[in-house]
Amino acid sequence: MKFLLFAVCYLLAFPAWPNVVERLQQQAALQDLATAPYWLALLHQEGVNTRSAIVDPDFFLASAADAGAELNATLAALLLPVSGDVNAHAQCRFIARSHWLQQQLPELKHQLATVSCPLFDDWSDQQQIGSVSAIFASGYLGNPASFYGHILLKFNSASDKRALLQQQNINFGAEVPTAENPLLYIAKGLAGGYNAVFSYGDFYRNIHTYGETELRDQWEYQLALTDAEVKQLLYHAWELIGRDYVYYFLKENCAFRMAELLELVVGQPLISRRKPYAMPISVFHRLAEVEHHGQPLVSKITQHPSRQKRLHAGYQQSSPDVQNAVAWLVANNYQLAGAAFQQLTVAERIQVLEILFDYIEFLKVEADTPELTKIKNLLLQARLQLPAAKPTSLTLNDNAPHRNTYPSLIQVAITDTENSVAYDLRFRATYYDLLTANRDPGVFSALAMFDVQVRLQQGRLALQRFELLNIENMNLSHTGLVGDGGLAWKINLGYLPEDLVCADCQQLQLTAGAGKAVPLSSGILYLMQDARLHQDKFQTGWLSADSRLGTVFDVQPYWRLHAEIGYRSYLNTERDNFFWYRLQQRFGTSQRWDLRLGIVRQRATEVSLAFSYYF
Amino acid sequence: MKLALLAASVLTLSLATTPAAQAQQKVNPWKQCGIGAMIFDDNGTAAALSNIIWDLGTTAVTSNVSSQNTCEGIKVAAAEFINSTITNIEEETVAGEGEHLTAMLNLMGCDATAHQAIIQDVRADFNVNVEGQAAKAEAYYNQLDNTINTKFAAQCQVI
Repeated sequence: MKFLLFAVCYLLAFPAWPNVVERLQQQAALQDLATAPYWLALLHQEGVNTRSAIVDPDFFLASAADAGAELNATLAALLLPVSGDVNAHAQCRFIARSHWLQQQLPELKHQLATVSCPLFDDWSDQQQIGSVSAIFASGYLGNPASFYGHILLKFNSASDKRALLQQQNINFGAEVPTAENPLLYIAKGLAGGYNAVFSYGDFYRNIHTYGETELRDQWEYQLALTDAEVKQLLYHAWELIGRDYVYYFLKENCAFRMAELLELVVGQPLISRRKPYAMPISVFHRLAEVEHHGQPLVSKITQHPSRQKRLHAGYQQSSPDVQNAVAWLVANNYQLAGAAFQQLTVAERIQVLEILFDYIEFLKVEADTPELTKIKNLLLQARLQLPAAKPTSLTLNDNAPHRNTYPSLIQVAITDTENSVAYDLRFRATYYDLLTANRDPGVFSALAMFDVQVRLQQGRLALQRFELLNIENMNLSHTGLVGDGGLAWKINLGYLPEDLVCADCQQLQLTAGAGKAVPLSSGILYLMQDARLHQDKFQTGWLSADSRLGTVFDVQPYWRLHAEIGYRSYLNTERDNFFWYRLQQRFGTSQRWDLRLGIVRQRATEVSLAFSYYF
Repeated sequence: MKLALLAASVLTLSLATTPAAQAQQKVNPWKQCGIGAMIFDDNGTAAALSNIIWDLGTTAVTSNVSSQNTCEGIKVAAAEFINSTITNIEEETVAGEGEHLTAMLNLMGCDATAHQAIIQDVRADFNVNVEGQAAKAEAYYNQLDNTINTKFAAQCQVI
């Protein structure tokens, strides 16, 4: 009776009893599937009739701007008989769409021909993927697009025949022609001049490229996803591989697209849509905050250290005897017959050789010379003559990236100037300065972009300073070995006050500096020489120089101090040279806030107290 | 009669298994597949993009998406791996173990229980003084392949 009632209702709903495709399309329309958020997410459309973010026509069967038409076309394509290359069938091309539509339309599942997809099965290790990890490759100053790190996803096979290095990962990056002009690269990257795609590869390529060549650590955040969610991700990742997007360096970049992909299964926002820029680190902060099925989304964090990190950790964690032997061998042309090496135990000799392997490879990144290869062969031969043994395990105590201070800054300050009290409001898009808390221990550097400060003083609101870019790299040596560490350097581009005497003394400035920094017990001491190229609005001439001596050190874990004295010399102008100084202090170790107290003297003096909020 | 049956069975088995095995034996990834000419790209993005692209009308080619009797075969995947990571493989070989060696032997289709013995064998005759990275990788691959074929064929059945 029930069946009869159902059949009558069904016939009323579909009076013409159309063919299967039309019937399923009508069912989909009745259920309003074309407007379902999940369907729109699979098409990368914000609304039913908005254009998809994917610009590759091959991603669509009907329309890039009509989710309904695409749904109907997908149903029709799924039901087509297999002919020719099975991998080209819609069931193999659009596995996530197929899977979701089968869940929504039970009849579809019964109507579909059984199709196996050999390419997908090979790629997904016969669908034996057991978990998914998000990988953070730390920042790299060798490429502007990598200053802020990189994110990719790793699909972890459950098969014991696939080791870590064989795991499959997917990457999102711009398709940049080889040997592209750097300025053109930046301009086109900002303006959407490149296409970008998801690509795939084995994890060993990342270990090689990031860890060995670019000396970047990788952090693996394994996600607590259900088996069904892992499959959903896998299916959709497959659909996306090789499909063109427009690439925007600031916003629609790797962080944005990877977050978008993960949101498909996490069901919560992982990247801000309101911010005009997206950073990989923000995704990791968010991943660490999110709870999924009542549990933390991140189940495990693993650091894959770079060659440089292994060198530093290996050296610092070895005994003084081993360190002395390493230093002696480096200074004495690697004479392995020398007593400094031969008097060590076998285990110590093995450790010395391991450190030297890392050291030579670290040097080879800078310049791969035949001499270094010869030394490396000598060391390998020496190791071969010692017994086989498990390599020394290293303890890595770096902060996981999500424990760093959040990348963007809003700061309010009250400043006592020689004229009156001023109120400052500052915004810095990214990322950290020499005082920022929660950076890796022993690393002192600054990387800031789009740092703007306005000042309210005597009822007048005005731009006080704007720094487009500020990078300072102290380039410290962590071993004392030749080639580890080098010149400290700085580059700064901004519209900044020439001194503190007047309120309107800003001019465009480009500063480049070089010097040397040495480590102290809990800080650094540095000497730098800056060259400044600037406007000549205040009889400053076009060129000047700053000689600076400074220190940064932690008085207490919650209290860091940065003191600097300098002498400014103006070239080819009558303007007076002058001494200056600054003392800045940061209090607090929160990822979200700190207090800063500072005094600066540059012809005039200012004292300020600031509250910083990070997000 | 029993002998004839046995001979026939052996012949049948060998005929049944020979094509793939022969194909594996024949392929020299350096000579026939251009492995030696590969240059590992230092640019992260370019490197990542170099091994795309699944697209209709073309064939996806990565280390593992492959048939087993051409230059896309599993031994070629191992050869590619060795060529790209020979520096780490050398360091781990002289040490006697490491994650690159594990991955390499997995790619060669070797059972995990045989890994240690294979590494010991390679280590015993390992020549660190071959000139040039590409030549080192090729020599290493040849030594490994020879070791497996002559001593560990049963434990290294291609999957």
